[in-house]
Amino acid sequence: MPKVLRINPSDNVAVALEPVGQGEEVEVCGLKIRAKQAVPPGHKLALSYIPKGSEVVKYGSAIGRATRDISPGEWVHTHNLRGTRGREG
Amino acid sequence: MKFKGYRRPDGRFGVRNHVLVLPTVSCADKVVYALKSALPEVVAVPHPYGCTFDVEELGRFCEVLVGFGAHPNVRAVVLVSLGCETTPVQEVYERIRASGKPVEVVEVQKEGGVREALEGALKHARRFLHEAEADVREEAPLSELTVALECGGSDAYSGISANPALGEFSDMLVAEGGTVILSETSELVGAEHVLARRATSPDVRKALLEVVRRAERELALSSPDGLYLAPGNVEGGLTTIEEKSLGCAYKAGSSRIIEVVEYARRPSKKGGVVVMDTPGYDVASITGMVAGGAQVVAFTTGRGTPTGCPIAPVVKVCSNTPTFLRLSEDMDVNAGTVVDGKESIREVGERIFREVLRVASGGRTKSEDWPYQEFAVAHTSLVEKGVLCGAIGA
Repeated sequence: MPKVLRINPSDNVAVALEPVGQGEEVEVCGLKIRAKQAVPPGHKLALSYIPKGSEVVKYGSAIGRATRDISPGEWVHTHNLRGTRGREG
Repeated sequence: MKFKGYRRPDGRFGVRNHVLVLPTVSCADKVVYALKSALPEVVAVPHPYGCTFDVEELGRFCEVLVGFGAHPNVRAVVLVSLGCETTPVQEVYERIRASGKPVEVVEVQKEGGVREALEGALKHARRFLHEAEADVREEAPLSELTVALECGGSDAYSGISANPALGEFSDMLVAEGGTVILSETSELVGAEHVLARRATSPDVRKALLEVVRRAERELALSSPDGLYLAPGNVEGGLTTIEEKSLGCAYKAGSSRIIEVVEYARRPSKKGGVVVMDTPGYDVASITGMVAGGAQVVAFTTGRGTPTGCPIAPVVKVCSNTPTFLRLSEDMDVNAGTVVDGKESIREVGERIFREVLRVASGGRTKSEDWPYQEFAVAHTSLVEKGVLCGAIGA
């Protein structure tokens, strides 16, 4: 498997299978991305610009919305992504 | 394809031949502990339940007692009662007896104390163990096998390696006429649109969406942080419940969803995926699926967890090689080979399939070697009980 894996072609994040260092350039499906921060294994890396409020897609489905603008190569986790489910009273 | 199991009077096949000693209330646990030390060959399940005026909780506990007692992995049952508990002991006895297997009840108050009850229970258990010696396994088709799917201590590799590999297994078993049970409804929130497409009828689809909606309301009512993930999940790279759910749902492969059942209820259909409404608490979820008749549990984990079940073997499938090696005494199958680039998801799925068949025919799992025998009954949800929105955190 590659170092960073995009699970579904429509995903805008990929999963680091090994630690990715800050500033390191990784290749995801032919796309070269420079990591803006260190990404621990199992964590996500943005593949494209994701504007605040838009969907973050993994496994081909929405896993929540960006809580701030996310640029390519950014680590995506609880600081910039929030789920939308389980919010209704 | 076949496995070798024990044919029961009700036509089902067990993968184990247990003599089960089950208290009908925690007040009788002492008898059960003492019996287990005197006769280690029995399976004893002491627990903290059995006396409540909450009819929903009591009803659910009785379903679990009956499900365990009547379970095909169980050859014979000794029920140990105190005498004054709210558990309807006679009804539980009769429902287990209806499966055709030997059942005895020993009542502490009637026998004249713990010592006397222990003597009575020992006498029955020794007889049952003796009778079990003559039993032999016979061939059974895979349509007689139900496997409970569970995941716990998930990490971001679970959705890449272990769960998709278990999904391959599920599709293989269903293709042979077998049944898998998918559970943990709160971990289907965000994945239900993918699953609903596979429902065999509009009723099944509706039931699936309804249990997920109920679980989502329950989450919203009772978890003010709105994250719905365990700290270990977040550390491992999972950010939202949707993300966790999509990874979890892979366990059930791509086969048709034939039925949705309530906690601990026995499915009426075979040959597909059954969804059982259980909480995301592994031990209570496994207890419910096994009470519903699953003879084997297939359990994926990324962080590693030792959870077992008193009456069903649990096959642990690990999502990554470092955890598999670190927790080697607790893990059975390494799916981390997918991440390492050494095996395909399909190949690991085939390995799980062979392992489950070996275990169904008598092969032991790591969880049985220890043994791990966790048992918990799920609480009924506040939403089911009709507690209104706003009652919590208002």
